[in-house]
Amino acid sequence: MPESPIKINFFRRHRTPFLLLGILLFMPPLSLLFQAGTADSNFCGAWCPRMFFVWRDGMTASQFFLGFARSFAGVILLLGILLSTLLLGRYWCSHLCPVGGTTELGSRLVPRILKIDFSPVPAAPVRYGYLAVYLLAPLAGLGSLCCNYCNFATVPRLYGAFFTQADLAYFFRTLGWLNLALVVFLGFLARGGRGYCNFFCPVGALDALAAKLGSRFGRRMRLDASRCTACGLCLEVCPTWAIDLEEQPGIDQLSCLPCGECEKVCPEKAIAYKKGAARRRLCGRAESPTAVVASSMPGVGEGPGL
Amino acid sequence: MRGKKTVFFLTATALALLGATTRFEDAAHSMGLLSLRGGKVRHPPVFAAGGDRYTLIATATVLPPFTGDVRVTLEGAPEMDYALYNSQPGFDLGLRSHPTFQDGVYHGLKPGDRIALWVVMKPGEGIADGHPADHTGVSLAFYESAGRKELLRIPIDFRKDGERGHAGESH
Repeated sequence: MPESPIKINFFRRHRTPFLLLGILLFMPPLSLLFQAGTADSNFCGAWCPRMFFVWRDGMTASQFFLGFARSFAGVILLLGILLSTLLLGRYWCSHLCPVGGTTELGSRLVPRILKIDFSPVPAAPVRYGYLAVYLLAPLAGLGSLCCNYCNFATVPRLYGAFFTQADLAYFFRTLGWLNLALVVFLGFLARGGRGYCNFFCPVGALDALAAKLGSRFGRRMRLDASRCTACGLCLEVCPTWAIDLEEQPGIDQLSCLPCGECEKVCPEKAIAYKKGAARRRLCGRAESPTAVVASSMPGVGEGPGL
Repeated sequence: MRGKKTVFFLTATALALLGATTRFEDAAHSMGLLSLRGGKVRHPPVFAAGGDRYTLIATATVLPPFTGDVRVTLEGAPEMDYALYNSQPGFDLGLRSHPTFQDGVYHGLKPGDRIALWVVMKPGEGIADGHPADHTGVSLAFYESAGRKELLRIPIDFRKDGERGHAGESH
């Protein structure tokens, strides 16, 4: 087979420095972006976008809108993430998210024999069952998953605990131990380090919807079914078990991050970061019959979806 | 495959509902407004009586026109050992000013500031059987450091098994 012209771009070749940069920007003790922006030290407070929609029992309209206004920084960050995802894919999750970055980098330090493989569990149904309760339970007055089970509260305090007693105190409670256990088992001990991201991250869940929504026209990791030999090397390295080779080879855009790990190991160069078929048609570039890209979009391929 | 996904979706929803409705009452989060009018607290904290350690996260926003230092104390009977930890950056880069906390006193609070205080309480025998806040009078009080004017008071309730507090987040 002739050598493919596919080249792995800079961002996907050098992902680790970006993950470390994300940690410096958002995590204690420096929390560069937070300290510069609002004098906060972590995501709790002005940077938590959940205040945007949380309605509590007995709350007045003015209190609701106060929370709405308070959370502007987090909301802007979230909207920026979703907009970039529509066009470019989930670069926030794969390259900058300090929470997912911490669990993924941490999992690289754990011996393979200790890793847990969560790939038999279909991620999207779990994720959206959790997200539905996350959004609706506070509105129905049933309780809240916000704060109680929050990776954006737990992981920063793992760093902060070395520097401030307030962050250390976070873990000396039942919920602190429980959250720590979730981060350890679904993060550090998960194969690929992204189990928590894939199941329980509300930002990741919204981001995945944006990725799916924009997959017709945006750039995404795409698998060329005509080149794929189903060797399975990509399955071994995919941190979010987004690739399915069983029937029609394809990538689930609800779970895929543009981390490029599959692209690096594919001996057939069958996986590449490309624009969607709709955008290519708009640009007037006809697809060759051998370059049919399988994705999870209906009508484009028969990859796994929700 | 669709059946498997449906089962996982329903299972995840049920477990998440269980998580959302289950309270671990050794920790609670109260939100308040700190003001010269005496302040206001939203969902006062409720703990299950009988524990040997409780954590209260007290967050509050400073309302105008208050400016100055604020002393924080845990008051009421029975007395408890307690420690106060302010949430602050590990390294203060000095990019923006924010209030400092030392020996139970916030220094330099100004309108719009948000404080986040972790209160770790270790009760004595008196809390073991459960005492509503109006009996014990345990509360976290914020006073103007100069004039002892009360700026915010957060009543803390210790309840027996079966009695529930608010259904919101406990952080």
